[in-house]
Amino acid sequence: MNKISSFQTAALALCFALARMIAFRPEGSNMLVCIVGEFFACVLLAVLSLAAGAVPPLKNGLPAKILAVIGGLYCLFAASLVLAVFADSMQYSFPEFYSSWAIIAALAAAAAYCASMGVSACGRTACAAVLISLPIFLFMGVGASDGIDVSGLQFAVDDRNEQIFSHFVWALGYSFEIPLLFMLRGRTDRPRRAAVIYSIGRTFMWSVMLALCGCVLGDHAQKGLPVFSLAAYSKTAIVERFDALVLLMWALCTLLALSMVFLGLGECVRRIKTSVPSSAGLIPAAITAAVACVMSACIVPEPAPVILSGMLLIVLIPAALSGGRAL
Amino acid sequence: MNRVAFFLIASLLMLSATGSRDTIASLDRAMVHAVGIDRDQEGYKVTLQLFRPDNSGTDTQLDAGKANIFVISASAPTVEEAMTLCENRLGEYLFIGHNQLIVLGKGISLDAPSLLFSRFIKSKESYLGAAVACTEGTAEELLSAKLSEGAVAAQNIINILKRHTENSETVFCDLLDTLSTEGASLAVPLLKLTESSSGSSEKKQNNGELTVSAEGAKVFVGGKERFILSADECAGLSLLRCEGKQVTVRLDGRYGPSAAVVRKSGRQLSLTRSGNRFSCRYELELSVRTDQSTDSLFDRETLAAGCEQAVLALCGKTLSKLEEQDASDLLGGSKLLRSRFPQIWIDCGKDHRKAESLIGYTVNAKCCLS
Repeated sequence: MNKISSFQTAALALCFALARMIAFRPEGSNMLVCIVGEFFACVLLAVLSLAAGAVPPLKNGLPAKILAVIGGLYCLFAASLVLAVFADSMQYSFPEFYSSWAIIAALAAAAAYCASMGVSACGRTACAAVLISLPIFLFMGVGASDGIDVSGLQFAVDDRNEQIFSHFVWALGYSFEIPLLFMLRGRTDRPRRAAVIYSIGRTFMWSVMLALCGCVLGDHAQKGLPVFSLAAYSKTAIVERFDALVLLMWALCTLLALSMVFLGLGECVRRIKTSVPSSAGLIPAAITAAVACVMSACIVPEPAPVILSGMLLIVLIPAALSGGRAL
Repeated sequence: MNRVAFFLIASLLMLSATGSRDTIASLDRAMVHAVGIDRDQEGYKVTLQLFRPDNSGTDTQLDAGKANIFVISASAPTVEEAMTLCENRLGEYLFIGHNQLIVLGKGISLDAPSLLFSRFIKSKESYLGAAVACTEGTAEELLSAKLSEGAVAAQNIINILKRHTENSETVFCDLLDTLSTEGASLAVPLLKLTESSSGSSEKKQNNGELTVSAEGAKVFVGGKERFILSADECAGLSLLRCEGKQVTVRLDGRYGPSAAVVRKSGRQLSLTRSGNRFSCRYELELSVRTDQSTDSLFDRETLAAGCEQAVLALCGKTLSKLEEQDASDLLGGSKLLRSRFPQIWIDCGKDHRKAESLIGYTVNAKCCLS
């Protein structure tokens, strides 16, 4: 069985976090509050993912199959939500031009194809995507550096603790990549190392980007899509504005995030039915894409983060605590 | 084989499904370069300055001999409706991604900038760095004026605004500033349309050449027009906010009054608390380049001391004007207080002017010769 490096696994998970960060809508929340909430969520998730990474590969048996069914259903739900959120955010940003059905169908098809190429190809592409994103965000920051005002970052909100908790729950609920890191641990060289790289990368990325948005956009960062607002404001001598590049990164990262979900689903299917050939990512992924298209249209774009967090913990905690014996 | 078939299906699906439903050709778009907003009986009068290449029978549509701009106006109860009306009259889709300037006419209130600029916020193609300026007359008059220089009038005005800002004769304000400082005071550069007395005799007969100058700034307090900052006061504000590049100060030299160009090299800002009062201290670092011309006019020590005194005088003048007019939050003290002492800010009811009443300002300047 092909195994991917810890960097490639971390890059796949970081693509998830990047896609979520670009489409992040604070809905009136303060940037510094979001950074603190995100930090606490990252710490908890790092502990959980390290614990989950320590679990040895699953042994075949009825409990393993039951857990695989639960994992598969979770993947299906995650895929639907990723598609729904992407389509909804595209509609929000560019309402005139695209139909959400077209976006869902095209993205699901592309991700299913990408997943069918195998975990190694997805891992390599994810590494490239993360590496490309670094100079883009760096130049975007340089282009907006004239407008940086550190006093734009502030904690002056009445319900500070509630807002931090609210963002913490949101960040926890939408971290679909953590159960996926667990599902793909059999395909990863050093899963715990991947979890550490991912946790550090995610915390750094979110903190820097939200801080930049807060410093440059001031109170305006609390409205709409702050990363896109920053991209529209940033200007260098060569690049007039960064919207198109950020849109490209967003689409690429969402594609890889969805591919990761399909890979996780493939693992679950393989656990349930061991005779499935190694290239069988294709058929289940295609079926999932079709189901996800239908499901995403039925799901409210933003379900309660508490429910999502509960689902994540239901999938992850028993697996992390069982030490393999329950499976 | 399966994979190839799937790839073809996925590609076909993507090509057919993601194609834009309502593609707008670039020829069907009207490129907006500047927007003027005035008050009138109906509510708002919006004036759009558009790029319109003139067909002159040559191979290229762009006529270098003409300004290639077109101005259209419409009135409606809201800015957004007025812009839609302009769009309808033009028969083209407005493209505001190239908009570089928003001019506010006399009487425009900025108490709800999100509503006033809703069209610009909603459109994701809009550029948040577009300059915002105001005029003493009407925005329509300014944008319709046949300016003497530049192929695109809006770009010409922007360049004038930038040069004035660099020389600290006004302050720069962009769309993001208006949106991110809701409730706070805002200084907006003041554009003036003047008729130049120079020029050829023929032009003089045609009422002379029109030029735009941007000296001074209009200050909005709580969204309402309150007072005007002179060019000197703008220089003081620019020094305190560490904006612009240089300030020209008047000094007494060996042979009478002379001018020296002071460059800004840094600023340190500190906010300290003593009981219920706060002290905001500005440490300005300046540099003056010396050469043969300055050496012949000034002693080196006299030059440095003179520049420091002149800068302190400018800052002092600005400070007293802002405090007198209850607009000292333009200096950023209340924002700093919000950032460093969040609970005090909450206790002040998140009000910039209440917070400013707790802050006292002191300025110190140090000038280095280079």
